[in-house]
Amino acid sequence: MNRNLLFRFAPQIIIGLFVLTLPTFASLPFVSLFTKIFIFGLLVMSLDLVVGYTGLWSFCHAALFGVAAYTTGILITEFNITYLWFTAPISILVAALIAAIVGLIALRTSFVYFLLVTFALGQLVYGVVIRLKDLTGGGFGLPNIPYPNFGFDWYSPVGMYYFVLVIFMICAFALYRIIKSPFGISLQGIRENQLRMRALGYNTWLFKYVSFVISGAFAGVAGILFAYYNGLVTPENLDVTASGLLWLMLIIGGTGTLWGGLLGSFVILFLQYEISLFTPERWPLILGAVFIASVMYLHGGIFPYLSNLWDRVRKLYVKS
Amino acid sequence: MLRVENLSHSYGGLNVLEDVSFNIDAGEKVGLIGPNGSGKTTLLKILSGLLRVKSGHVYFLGQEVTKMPVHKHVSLGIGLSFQNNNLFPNLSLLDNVRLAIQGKKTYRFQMLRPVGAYIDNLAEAKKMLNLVGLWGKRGDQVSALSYGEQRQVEIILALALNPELLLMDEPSAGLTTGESAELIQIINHLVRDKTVLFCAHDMELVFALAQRVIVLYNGQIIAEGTAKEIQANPRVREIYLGI
Repeated sequence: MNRNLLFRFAPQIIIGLFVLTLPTFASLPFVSLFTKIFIFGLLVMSLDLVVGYTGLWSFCHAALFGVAAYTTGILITEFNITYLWFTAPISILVAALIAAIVGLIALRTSFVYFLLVTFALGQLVYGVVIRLKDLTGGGFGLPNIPYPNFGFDWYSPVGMYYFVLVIFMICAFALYRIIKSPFGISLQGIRENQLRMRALGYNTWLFKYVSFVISGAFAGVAGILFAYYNGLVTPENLDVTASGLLWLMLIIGGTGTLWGGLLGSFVILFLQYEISLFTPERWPLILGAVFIASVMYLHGGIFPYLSNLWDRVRKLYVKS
Repeated sequence: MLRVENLSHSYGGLNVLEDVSFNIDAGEKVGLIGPNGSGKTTLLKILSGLLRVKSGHVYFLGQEVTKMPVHKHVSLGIGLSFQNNNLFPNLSLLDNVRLAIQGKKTYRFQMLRPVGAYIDNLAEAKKMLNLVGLWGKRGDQVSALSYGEQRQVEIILALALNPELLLMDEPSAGLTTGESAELIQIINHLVRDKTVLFCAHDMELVFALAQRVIVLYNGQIIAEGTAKEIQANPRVREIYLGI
């Protein structure tokens, strides 16, 4: 029984050990790559909450992410407020607030129209960031964001990795709890059949709105981590290409799976890292090929495929 | 219990309901019949709140509900089952029923406790599914169930809200005669002490369940009475049989 249990959770245990011990055997660029994977993993998971679980096709998550990153950056570099326990809540609030405003407008529509409205509002945020040169540095971005200040010295890339890992774990756990809760099941009901949910007495608008705002807050957390990790926030971090890349990660990883977001972030960023070492100019070509291959051959993304595969292997093992 | 006054509704220029008025008392089972396009589904949609009516009034338990949103209708105790199976195809059977049960509970907004922690919800879901003998299939995706089973789930979902007034749109639509007979038995058992308004083409269902029948034709009520009276009504015979 115990052996079976161990076998059952083998992938989780191996992955857990790998990420915990990574800095002891990997080079610094590699640790830095994985830090980025976790940040974008969190962002794509927050996107999955609205796209995969609620059925809202949001195309402005890079903007929500970027708004939080900029808020942190501006508070630190312009106002000299470095205290994390102040800057982080403010940044999350700003991201959630923008999500609340976008949601108010976009939730009058659904499906592809929702996508277009969020796309337009995301571009609006991008435009505002470019225009507010004095505050945001315009097209050049906001440089020189230091590591987060807890009140004691700890600055190092490995420290940053563990910091991001801990925040990621907390947020992923919270997201996991949300999708397994009565609220989360209700969101999936709305995704499946909104008319029925209304007939069952749910105020579906309110559920969608709350889900969008919560997702925005988590995107904000990822944005804060990114600002500290990168030390520089530029308008490219929140434009439409960035939102598109998030969708790519989500589709490749698998929508409506939560962990697929992390997997998609890993696949894209890892490939980007490796391929950029050899042929940086061919990266978009290979990205396109990966996308087409995963849409054609891995319906529903890599994560469901892998988890099915593991189930089959496990059954074979249990039988023999 | 339910009082409908002068309902009129039109889609574009087409009048689907014209000046419809009737009452339903508590505990009554009322059948709504009429040829295709006579406005039965539209009427049920209006009574459940899914459709905003153009003119007229609906009172439920003495309170005007005409302009209330659907979720208010549900919380007051009006439940609707659909003509076409309107389920959550990619969720498990258990989750389907859970969603229906928590529809009227405040914990539907709860985000941090897992859904499995709500023991009374599970117990109620078990009770509901046992009524139709589907508890053993609770883990299956609803899309994997047979059409007849989905039909039963459709009614279970409406009943899980524990409505005072149950509206059923063609509960036996698309079933074979055998399946339909089985469903009639199940419904008869399930709704014994509820107030029911249902519409049907299946006359066996109407005779088995309805204490009173209302006949709609071109959006107007043309006859009302017991099933026997309706059968004998010359106007109804003319419409249905052309004699």
